Amino acid sequence: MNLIQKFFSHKTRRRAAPYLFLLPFIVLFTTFWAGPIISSMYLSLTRWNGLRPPQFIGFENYARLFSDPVFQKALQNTLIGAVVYDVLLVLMALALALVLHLPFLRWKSFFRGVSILPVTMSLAVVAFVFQLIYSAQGGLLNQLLGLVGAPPRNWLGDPNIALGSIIGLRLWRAVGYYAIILLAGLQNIPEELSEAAWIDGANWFQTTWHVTIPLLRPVLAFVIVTSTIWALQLFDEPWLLTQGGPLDATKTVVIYLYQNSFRFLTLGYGAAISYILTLVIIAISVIQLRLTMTRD
Amino acid sequence: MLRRLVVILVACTLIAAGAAMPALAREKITVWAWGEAAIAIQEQIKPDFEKLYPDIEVELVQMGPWDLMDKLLISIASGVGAPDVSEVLRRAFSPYAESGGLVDLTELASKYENDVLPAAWAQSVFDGKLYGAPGDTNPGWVMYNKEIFDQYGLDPEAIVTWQDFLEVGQKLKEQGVYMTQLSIPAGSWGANHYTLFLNSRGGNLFTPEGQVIRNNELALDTLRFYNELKEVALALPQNDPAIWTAWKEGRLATMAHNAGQAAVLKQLAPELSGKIRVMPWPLWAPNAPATTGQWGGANWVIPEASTKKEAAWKFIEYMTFTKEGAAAMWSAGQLMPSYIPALETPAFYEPDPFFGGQVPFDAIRAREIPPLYQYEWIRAEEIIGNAIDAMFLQGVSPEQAWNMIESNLARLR
Repeated sequence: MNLIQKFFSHKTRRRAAPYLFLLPFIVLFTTFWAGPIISSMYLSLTRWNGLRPPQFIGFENYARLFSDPVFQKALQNTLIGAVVYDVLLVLMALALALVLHLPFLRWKSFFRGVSILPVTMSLAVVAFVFQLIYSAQGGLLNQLLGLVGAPPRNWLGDPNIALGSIIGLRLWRAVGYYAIILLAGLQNIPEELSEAAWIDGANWFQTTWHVTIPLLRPVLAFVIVTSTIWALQLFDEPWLLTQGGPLDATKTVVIYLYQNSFRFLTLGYGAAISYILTLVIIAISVIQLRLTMTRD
Repeated sequence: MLRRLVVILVACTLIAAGAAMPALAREKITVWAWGEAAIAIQEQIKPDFEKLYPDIEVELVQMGPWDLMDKLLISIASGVGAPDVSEVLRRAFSPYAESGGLVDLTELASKYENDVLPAAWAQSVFDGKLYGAPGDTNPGWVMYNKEIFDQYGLDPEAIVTWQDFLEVGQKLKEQGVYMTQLSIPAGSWGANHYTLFLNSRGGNLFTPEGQVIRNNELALDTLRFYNELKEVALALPQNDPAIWTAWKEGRLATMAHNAGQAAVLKQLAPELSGKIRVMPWPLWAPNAPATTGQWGGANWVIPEASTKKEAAWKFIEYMTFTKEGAAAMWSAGQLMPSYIPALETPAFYEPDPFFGGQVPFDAIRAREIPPLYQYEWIRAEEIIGNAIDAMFLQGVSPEQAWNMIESNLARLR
């Protein structure tokens, strides 16, 4: 049996088949994931403006990060924003999901459809609408404040509340989407368990707290982890509305990463920021998974 | 024998035809541009150029300015996908000029040097070499709502100096009308707006060599003025729709800004057609030189990776250094060319119905534009914008804000 015959033998083909099926994934993964990840690790150790060859500088970019007040401000904004956003998001999405799950609610399909609409809308359009809502001059929010006699606020121009305004927009976009995910989880919980609790005398709140939410934990864990990752990568909303201002009050790590990479042309520094952000995301995700899935 | 001869003849004919093909094919160049320049290319420059050079076809790719800059950076960095001609923000130009990734245009363009605004030429040169053909130069002017001026009996010609402008602003403020508009958060818009005022006084933040000017009294004084201007201004985020609403509702009297804002106003508030006029940039003192500032404008470059450099240069030369090309830029969006001879063409002296039949260019040609030196400018914008925010939002004095600017700029260079 010559080599060609041996190669095409039935046994060899059987053994090679799974690897051949995996080959497209491996090629794509190496090209578009592993390659950039490894090369950006190298780039984070260089000084590179994207236009001239990179110059190796070791860990200088990382050392600079720890003394960079703008990065620290961006990291602080990102972490505070993520915590506030995540807590509010989970509470609001869970509340909405529970309402959508109420057995006596009519027009369920309509409300579910409406809930998911915000996330399907173009962010450019949403940003424009929210500029009208937040506008310091005759914006909807200030008009509402005026109705109760409160003074108008500069929602996007005041450094003390600008980040909160951005979080408000992000919540408006995300709550319905995550509520639908939680609703899917609620629908998978056998009704017999709730009924058993009611028969034992538990009210709706007790049933929800002691039966529904514990059983919803895997879905909640998914919502918390994915929404946190999304929150830690906050970019579009502040970039469109405030470009990170005023006074860096809405500057997030990803905005600073983008600015360094594509505006200031310090791509090596940008790569270092992206690695730090990745480490932060991994660490927080691991902690969240451990906390939410402990009992499993 | 005869068969062999026929075969040879046929082969020769085919080879000759093949050799002739490239001569017949049109050479296609890709041009990246944004906004009004892209409109001007699409509507007028491209058809006129292709008529003049029938062997060159222009493919226009239109995108937003920063989208273009991102893609240009990536194409130069990767060596793949660069266009043959690209527009580049002049205020972000210096690292591109330094990169070695752009074609040196010095030899090709030097014959036009005396015909180009010195301020624009100076910003396109690095290390004595020209790496971008200066396109538009976005000068400052003041658009105003004539109805408001008429309503309150104000004479625009009486606004000679910025002090006059502030005084009129105080009067209008008492009537609930904003004199002008500023950006809060300042960001890059606020930074460049402040620089427009500084430049109009002949001031700069950097020397021509790129050093930060220390103890810059002119820059500090301009910051003081900018702080006063805020008292009579509608201060909102730059893209806030309330700005255009205020225009439409007659609550905003003027916009002291770059001339390019006219195209935006025409697009977003067409119902104001006939009500708006322009006046020249006020002076800094009654006997001060008649100057205005510049916002930055754009340069046109050829990436080294282009394989059609000759055709690319012909296009740039037509667009920036001919009267026809430069006039098309003005007609499309009030993009004032840096090429001075173009300013003689009738396009610049046509009455504009949006401005009530006024010739808007008259407001620009009444002013000289001093040179502007921008280095590390995108970082500088952040620094200036933050200092302005601190001044406007946290009550920091102009002196403290200037110290913030000077010390942070010094760290850049």
